[in-house]
Amino acid sequence: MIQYVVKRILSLVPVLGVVAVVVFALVHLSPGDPASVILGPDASADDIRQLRDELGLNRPVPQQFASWLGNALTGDLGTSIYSGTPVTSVFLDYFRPTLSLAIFAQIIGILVAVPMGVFAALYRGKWMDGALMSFALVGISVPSFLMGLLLILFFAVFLNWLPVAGYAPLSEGLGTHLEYLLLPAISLGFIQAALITRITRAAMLEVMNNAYVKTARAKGLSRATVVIKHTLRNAFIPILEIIGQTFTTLIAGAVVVEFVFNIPGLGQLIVNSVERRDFPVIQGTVLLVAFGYVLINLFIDLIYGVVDPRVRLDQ
Amino acid sequence: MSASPIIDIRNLRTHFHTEKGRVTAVDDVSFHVGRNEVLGVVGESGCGKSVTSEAIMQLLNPEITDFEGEILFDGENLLALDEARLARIRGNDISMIFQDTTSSLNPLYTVGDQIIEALQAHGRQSRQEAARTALEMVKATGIPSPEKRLSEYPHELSGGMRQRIMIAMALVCRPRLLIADEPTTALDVTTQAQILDLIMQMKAELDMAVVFITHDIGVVAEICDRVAVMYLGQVIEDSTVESLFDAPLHPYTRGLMQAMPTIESDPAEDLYTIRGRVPSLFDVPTGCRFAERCPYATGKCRAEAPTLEAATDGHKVRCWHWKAIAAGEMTESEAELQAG
Repeated sequence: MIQYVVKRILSLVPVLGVVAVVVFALVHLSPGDPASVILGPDASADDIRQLRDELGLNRPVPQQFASWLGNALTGDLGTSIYSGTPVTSVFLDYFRPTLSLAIFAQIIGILVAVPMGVFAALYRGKWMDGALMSFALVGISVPSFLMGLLLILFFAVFLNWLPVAGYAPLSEGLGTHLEYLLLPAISLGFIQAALITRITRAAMLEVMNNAYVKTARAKGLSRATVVIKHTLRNAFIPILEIIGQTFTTLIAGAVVVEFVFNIPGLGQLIVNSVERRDFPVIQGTVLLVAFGYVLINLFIDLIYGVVDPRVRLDQ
Repeated sequence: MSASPIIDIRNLRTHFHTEKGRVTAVDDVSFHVGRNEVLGVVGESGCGKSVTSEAIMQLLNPEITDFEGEILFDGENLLALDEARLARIRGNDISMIFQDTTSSLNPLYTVGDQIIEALQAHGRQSRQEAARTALEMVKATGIPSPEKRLSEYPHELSGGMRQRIMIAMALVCRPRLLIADEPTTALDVTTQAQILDLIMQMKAELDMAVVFITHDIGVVAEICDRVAVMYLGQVIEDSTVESLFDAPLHPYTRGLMQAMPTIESDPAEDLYTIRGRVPSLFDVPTGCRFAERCPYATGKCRAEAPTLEAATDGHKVRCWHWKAIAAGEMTESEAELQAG
């Protein structure tokens, strides 16, 4: 097991290397100069040149890359050109709301979707299946920003149950935290739920055809045991795969939802940093998000090992 | 044979609703199995033998299946029972083992868990007691190092071992009837013989009846007391093993036996084959279902369906001409056609 984890973590190195090169190249090849953005349109050419020197932007690009990468390996992603604070602390500040939102949305998605998928599969071809699958189709088709706006209109404006927008950190209490997150998490989790419902249904139908489900029934097990223990657990393997793969889409989707609900998350950070040409922040954030993505996939692979004993042998 | 059979199937019809329309996979099947008796059900794939066995266990999808007739288990009609009552019978009074050893066990649980689960579904045994019973049962199947096996997953065992585990799982509640649906088909020959021995040994120990479904008429000769030969959803011959192998009456049974290679067969000669193919269930012939392929078929055979009639005591056959064929009065009209 440990050997497997170490091997998987080592295999991340080349991936992250490629990400580092691409991110750096993208940022430096795109037009726009941080010095002129900081100093504004009225700054003199001399001032700009001087600031560029201070920021190290006049050095050759490969040299800049080497020093950035060297520092990154020691955990130092530089400081924000705009605010002067270290990139890692800026990242963490903005990452927390996004992570909260993504996890909450994912939980809502799974809690709604797995039972829906199971029932759709059990009542395949019946009206229940049709209704659930139509719901899932709507879920996939409605963009999250529209969903968000509709939810705000209904639950916040008409019913006045929940705040319209904004964000309360966990330090203000879990209740308040979730109160602000509920609508954004639903609008983000809705698409996720639609996707997972479809996968759950397909996986259940496939597993139900397996001989061991027949064996389980032939043993005289109750219907609930057959469905949950002998079908759903096996169907969970493809479901997990989808959850892992879509977690990044979820974070990307969070950017849009954050905008609608005015949540100070990664989406805001990236958009603002691009506008400000805050190179260190853009580079650092993208690199860390990529790192997170790879870690999540590793985590999902480890869960596989827990769910499916056959995976453990293939180390 | 016994006065009151453990299972008595009377005029069973099984219809499936498919996308192409309704098919009758089992058409007027009647047979019974006495206590402590081994009945072989023989036929080609698609003849309805597996459907019959799954009808007994009520494992077929009720939404697309209609039944007619009766399946009396110890006098109780299984077709009329609700799901809760059936669940108490399945695995407890009637057990089943299957052909496919690779997928018949759930890959995510240890074999021990799966056997214990069968016990706990029916008994009020604690987990420890159940584990002990499971171990005894697995020991009885002759698996090497049984303690170790119980904590292993199905993919860590060989096909033969998995089938032994399936047998242990099926028999752990001491059922009165075991349905074995081609349990040796997927195994190699030496393992086949061991599994057959094991089934017979367990049958004697537990004093149970066995329905042994197979396409291998050689296996039938080895282990069965009686045989029902099925063809296209019908029983066409039902007899004791001795009587069937002494004097098979139905041309199809005769064909099956001729098609079986024996030690005396001349290796240079082609094996006998029954000509033609089994007709589709969507296109069942109006007369005798075997007429198209039968060397003795006459106009009557093609027009009228024969019934299962008693030829001798305990030997039934579904053929218009069995008497003439047995007496040698009829010749194989197209014998030359089948030799090749």
